[in-house]
Amino acid sequence: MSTSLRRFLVTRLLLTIPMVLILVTMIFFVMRVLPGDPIRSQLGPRVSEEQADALRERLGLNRPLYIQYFDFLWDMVTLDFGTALTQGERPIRDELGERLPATIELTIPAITLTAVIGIFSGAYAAKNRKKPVDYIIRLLSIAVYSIPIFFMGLIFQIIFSVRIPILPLSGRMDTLLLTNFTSITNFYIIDAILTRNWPALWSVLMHLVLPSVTLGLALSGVFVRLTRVNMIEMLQSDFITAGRARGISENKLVYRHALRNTFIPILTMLGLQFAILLAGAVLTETTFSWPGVGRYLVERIQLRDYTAVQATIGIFALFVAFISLLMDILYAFIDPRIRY
Amino acid sequence: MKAKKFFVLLIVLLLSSLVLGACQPAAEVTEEPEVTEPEVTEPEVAEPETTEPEVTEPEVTEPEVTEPEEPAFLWTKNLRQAIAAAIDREEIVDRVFEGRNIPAYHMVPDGYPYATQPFFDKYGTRDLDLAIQLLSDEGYTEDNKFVFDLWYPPEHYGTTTADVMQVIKEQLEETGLMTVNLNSMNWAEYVDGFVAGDLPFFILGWFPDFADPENWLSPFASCLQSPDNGVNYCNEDMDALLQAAAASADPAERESLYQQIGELYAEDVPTIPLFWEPEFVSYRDGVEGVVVGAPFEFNYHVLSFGADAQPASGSTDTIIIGTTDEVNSLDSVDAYATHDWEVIKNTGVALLSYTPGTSELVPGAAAAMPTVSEDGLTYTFTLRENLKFADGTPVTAQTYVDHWNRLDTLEGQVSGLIQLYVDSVEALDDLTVVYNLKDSFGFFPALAATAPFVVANPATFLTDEIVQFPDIIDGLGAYRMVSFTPGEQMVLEANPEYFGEAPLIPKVIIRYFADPTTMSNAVESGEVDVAWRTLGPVEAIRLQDVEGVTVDKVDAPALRYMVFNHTFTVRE
Repeated sequence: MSTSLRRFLVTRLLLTIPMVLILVTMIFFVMRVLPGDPIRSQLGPRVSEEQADALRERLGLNRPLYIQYFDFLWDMVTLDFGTALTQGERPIRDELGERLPATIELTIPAITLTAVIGIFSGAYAAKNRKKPVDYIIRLLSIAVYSIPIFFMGLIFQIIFSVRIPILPLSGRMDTLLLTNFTSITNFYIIDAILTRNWPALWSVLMHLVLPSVTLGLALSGVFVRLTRVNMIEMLQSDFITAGRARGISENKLVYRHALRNTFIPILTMLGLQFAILLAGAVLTETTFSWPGVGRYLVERIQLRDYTAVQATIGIFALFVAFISLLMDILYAFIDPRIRY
Repeated sequence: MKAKKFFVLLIVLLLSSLVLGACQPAAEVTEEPEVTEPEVTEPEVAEPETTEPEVTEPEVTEPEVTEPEEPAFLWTKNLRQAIAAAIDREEIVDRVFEGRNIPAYHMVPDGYPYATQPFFDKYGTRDLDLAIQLLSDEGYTEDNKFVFDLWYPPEHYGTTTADVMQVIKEQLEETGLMTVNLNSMNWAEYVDGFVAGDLPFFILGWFPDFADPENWLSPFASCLQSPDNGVNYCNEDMDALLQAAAASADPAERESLYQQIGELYAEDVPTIPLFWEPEFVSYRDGVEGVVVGAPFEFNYHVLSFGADAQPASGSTDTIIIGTTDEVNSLDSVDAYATHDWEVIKNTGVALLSYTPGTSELVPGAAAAMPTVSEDGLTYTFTLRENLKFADGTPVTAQTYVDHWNRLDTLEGQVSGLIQLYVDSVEALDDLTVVYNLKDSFGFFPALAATAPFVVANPATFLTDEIVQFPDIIDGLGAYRMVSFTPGEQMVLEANPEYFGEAPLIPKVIIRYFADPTTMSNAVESGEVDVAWRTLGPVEAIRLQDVEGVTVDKVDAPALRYMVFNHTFTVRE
């Protein structure tokens, strides 16, 4: 690792700290500016004002704001995150420990599928520009992009689970298998492998098919268009013409030389999408009853569960920072001209 | 440099959000009084034209002149009655719910003890002429209409709320003497608004804590409780009647009192009941014993598979029940949500319980119905002999005393509900437990059938803390909870120590769904045997046409009603 790369990494890592700090601070105060509080949002008028006050007291919501703020910062630093204020007041570490793995387990196959479908069909369309296949690919990409994701999910469910029951409808694993399943990491694929529970592994993989295909397909539309546009430009550049003149095969030119050079914008977009997906797969998670973190965040925002929202967004910020750092490093490998 | 600018920008953003935060309470304060500054128009009398010395003396009359004719409350009785007369529930139910919902002519649901229909008796389905007459009596004309705001939350009670509000607006404006301005606010803000008394007229929902008229009337019409629901209603006659009815343990006396309360309610209109929203339960062919009665209890132990059943699990030993509810707390001294109570009551038994599918109270953990002292202040329960928790720990009267102490000291969400009525609990001997009440409450048996009267096993539910998510529940009920994966599923197994008959299906798995559509697809495809709360009308109607699936309408005691804020003052 060169000195300059190391310095780049250290600077980037250090910059993450103020970024996360500013973000969580904003969330902390914005959540409290919003009308409504956790007690009333959850219990409504069922408790009297005195009872509501007693509950606020118990949850520590009556303390001065600055004390709550510093407590919260300390919780973040010690990676404790405190306990949620609603839906059972469980430690947030436990709640996210259950939900984050579920989301990641859904997101990774989805984004892989997005990349594979998006990039290859985009490149293929560019190669066959203005031929019928180009139009068909572009049309399909607009179609999958514009169909609401939950609707696509429902259609898939009705076709592949209800009418032709070959795939499970929802959830992460078969109900009966889950009854006897030992979860260690909450990444069910890993847990199934660790415990050598092959039927469970099969069940988890089958349960992943519909949600990840739905999510992956819906996102691929953007990548098809992004890849296609960049490829068209790239295919007109001098080095491709030179390559053609030397008699390099068209496929090699397109899929190796041109595609490699269009990777930078695509990778940036993939990185961003992955980060967004962590919090933004709400609709897919809802349609497939996937106990992920996107649904969790939306529910907790509605309930004004300050601590849960703060901690979740804080963790997202860390993820985003980490992923964008990873992307920056990857650039250097893809394009040797990039030096830090 | 760029980074510097970026930070400056962020800090500015941060500060502005802080400033916004600081402004919030201030803004609320400025909104309020206005009325209290009674335009101290210098009393014209004081202008000393006549130069007579006496006149210039600050007369006693001065303050009287400026007094703003008492705080003028917006809702006079005539206006409330006019609105009650102008609303046509049948039309709301037909137009918005295609006849699925049930018009409510009283706050107390049909099928409950002492239910009557006073609003129907007084106003019929609708009395537009009476409404017009009452509004005219108040001095409103076509040129000088009564204008007011009507508020609703757009999401909390489902998207149909907006349609209901629109129909009500049309019905009220049909008098030609009213103009209704519809407004909406998200739920969190809405609750703050009506608790603070900022909303003049608004819709709310109610779901009972226990199956007695008391729980449907006092929260809205008693001087003490009505402010909590934003009603702010106080009428001495009503209070006296409510207290007398609550205190009495004599059914005949209670019936007569609740009859009078109903009449006064329709006459004085503290709130206006609109309709009951039914629930739906759907199950696959061969599933038997799905009965949900007026107290809205779903008992798993009476479920069974018939000969033609094809269980989702592949075995008649296991039934899978789907729900879109979530678990909030499984500690009976804390839990205060429908699904939590359902789990608690299937893994435990309250002192009294209901015959499945009816509102008939029968002994639960108690061996017989309680004996009541003459003054109505003490209820004595005799426990069944040899009661044991699922782990074999014996349950005695002392267990009930400890349970009450936990409820009283830990201040869980539900504590307030029970503390309103119960003063103390004592154990006379191993089998006799005595509840001393704060007053005479004739409805106490119904209260003793609620989840907070399900004793929690001290091995799991520690004395000094609320345990909302135990790993297991070894209670008194037909089932014990053996595992729970939040957001995914809960597994219940037959309790070997259960005092009653063993459940027909020894294992129950509750599957948690995120939305009703997925759940209805799951019952259609046979992934679950039963789809329970909340299926929703759209899915229920679709499933009615699906072969192999039955859909039952359950008359749930879920009421929607309109609230007048009785202390809302007229603003210029």
